[in-house]
Amino acid sequence: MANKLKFYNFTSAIDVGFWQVLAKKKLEEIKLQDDFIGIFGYYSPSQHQDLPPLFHVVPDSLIAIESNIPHGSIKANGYLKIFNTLEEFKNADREKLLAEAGKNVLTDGNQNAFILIVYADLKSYVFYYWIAFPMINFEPVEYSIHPLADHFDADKLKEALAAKLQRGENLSAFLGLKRNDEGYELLNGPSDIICFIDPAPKHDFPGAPLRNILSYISQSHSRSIDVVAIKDLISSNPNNFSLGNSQYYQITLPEINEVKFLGWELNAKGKLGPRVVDLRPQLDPLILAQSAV
Amino acid sequence: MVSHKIGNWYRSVAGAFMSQHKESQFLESGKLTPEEFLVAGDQLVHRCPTWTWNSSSPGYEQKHLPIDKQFLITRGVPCRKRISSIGENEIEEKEIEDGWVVAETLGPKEEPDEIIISKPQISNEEEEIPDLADLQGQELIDENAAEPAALFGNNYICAEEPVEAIMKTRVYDLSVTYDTYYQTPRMWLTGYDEHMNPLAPEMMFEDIMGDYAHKTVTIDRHPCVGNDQVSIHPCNHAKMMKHFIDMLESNGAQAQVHHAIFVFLKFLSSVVPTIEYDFTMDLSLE
Repeated sequence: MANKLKFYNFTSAIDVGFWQVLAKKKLEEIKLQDDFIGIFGYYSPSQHQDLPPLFHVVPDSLIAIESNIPHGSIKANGYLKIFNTLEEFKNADREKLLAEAGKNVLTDGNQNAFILIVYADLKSYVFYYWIAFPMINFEPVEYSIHPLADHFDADKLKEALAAKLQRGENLSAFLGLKRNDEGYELLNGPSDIICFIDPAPKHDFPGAPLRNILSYISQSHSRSIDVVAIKDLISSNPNNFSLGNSQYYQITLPEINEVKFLGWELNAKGKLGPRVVDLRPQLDPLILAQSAV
Repeated sequence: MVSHKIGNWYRSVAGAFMSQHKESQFLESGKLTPEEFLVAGDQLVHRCPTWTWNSSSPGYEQKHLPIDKQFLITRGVPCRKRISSIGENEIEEKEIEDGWVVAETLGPKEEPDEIIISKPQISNEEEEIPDLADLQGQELIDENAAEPAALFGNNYICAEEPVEAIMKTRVYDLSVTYDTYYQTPRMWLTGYDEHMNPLAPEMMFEDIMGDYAHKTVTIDRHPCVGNDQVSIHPCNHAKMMKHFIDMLESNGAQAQVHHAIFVFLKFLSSVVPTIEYDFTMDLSLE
């Protein structure tokens, strides 16, 4: 285990419709309140090797109804904070916001927390935003990677995963994996082997959600952990998917001496900085009228 | 375009008042009832887990469909090439009926003749993005990041492409609604550039086969979301479904309602041949 493990961080994919619902809610309900608002996002495994792991924030997360996410995806609960001026947005205490959003990462099992800060210029349909995935920082850890099929019975593992979905249970960030007489059993909570839904399509490294999972597990386990990274979209019918992309990593657990977070997303230039989305082409009635002629 | 808008208005009003057919007309006309749309949608979600049901935005609920199954959506679908960058001999066009052309992508050529790299949508306001360079000291340096994920246009290069032919991979969200007027599924597109900035609808025409752009494919208001999106007009969808039903029948098989959306998606992949959405199902075996 001489190699250092790295992780593929998320790229946020915010549905255009999210901004539209946000604009409406801001005008009609939220007004000038700037408290945290609970929202959710989700991520899925992807077979597209050239795409980064995408984290979807969807309009449904602002609508108070039970909503669907794709089967085999992981729902992540996070916070939205809307600032009323660009100045406030700019001067936000990002370190504090990050720590607040990530405060339960080591305790209640919300390893996938996120925070989205927004300044909405509703007159011009321009939204400034910055998303963070609070991740506990740790020194690089060592790992080794192995073909899944050498160590696990892929068919039996598929059956266990499909059965979990068939029961209509939501998948959590990770599951404990235990061998039994018939095959495998998936448990809520840590075990000597864990199974996590990995949004990173590439085989060499896992996606960012594993960072907090490792931090969490390091509290109850010492030394190392076996990780089955499910990089295939799973479904309730085991005949409809394969585990061909999924990987098996053996990872030395990190030592968490001091809880410090990182996780603000890089902008389009690859630097730490907010992003801006201009929705006049989609939403501004005047521009729409012009482009229709 | 103006008459198209008036037609839209008429159809949306007429659609709201028309009583929905309860009896199946699928085999006779290729049309679906809302119930059949649900059956076919459930089958799609079951077979292709990249697709999911979605709710409508407040105020845009479709009353003939359950509140949590208003339309189908698949997000984050890659589109690696613009149509204009695909060599002509990569696409074979076959006119099948009434001007519908089936385009088949014949696999990538070794070297594209011409590479069109579209400018990303940069907002005029970008100058105003606060420069936070002076605040960067706050953040810890991420030593564990595999690569800057934000820049997949630059860092996630298709390995097989020559360096000068770097394609800017776009990403699409595709949705399928039930069109009450034409009683068929209808497809909508929202595209994002390589930095996940939404594309202006006009820019998405670069990913639509030229024969369809602005004719069969137009910019319209999404009935369940309420913003303007690029949409493939459903006026010929029932006819094309009927064509498929007849084709199956002449082969001694019978089309099934729960295949309807797979057939629909397969047909429409010829309109957007470079958007790699999932509709995998071997129809001949079912």
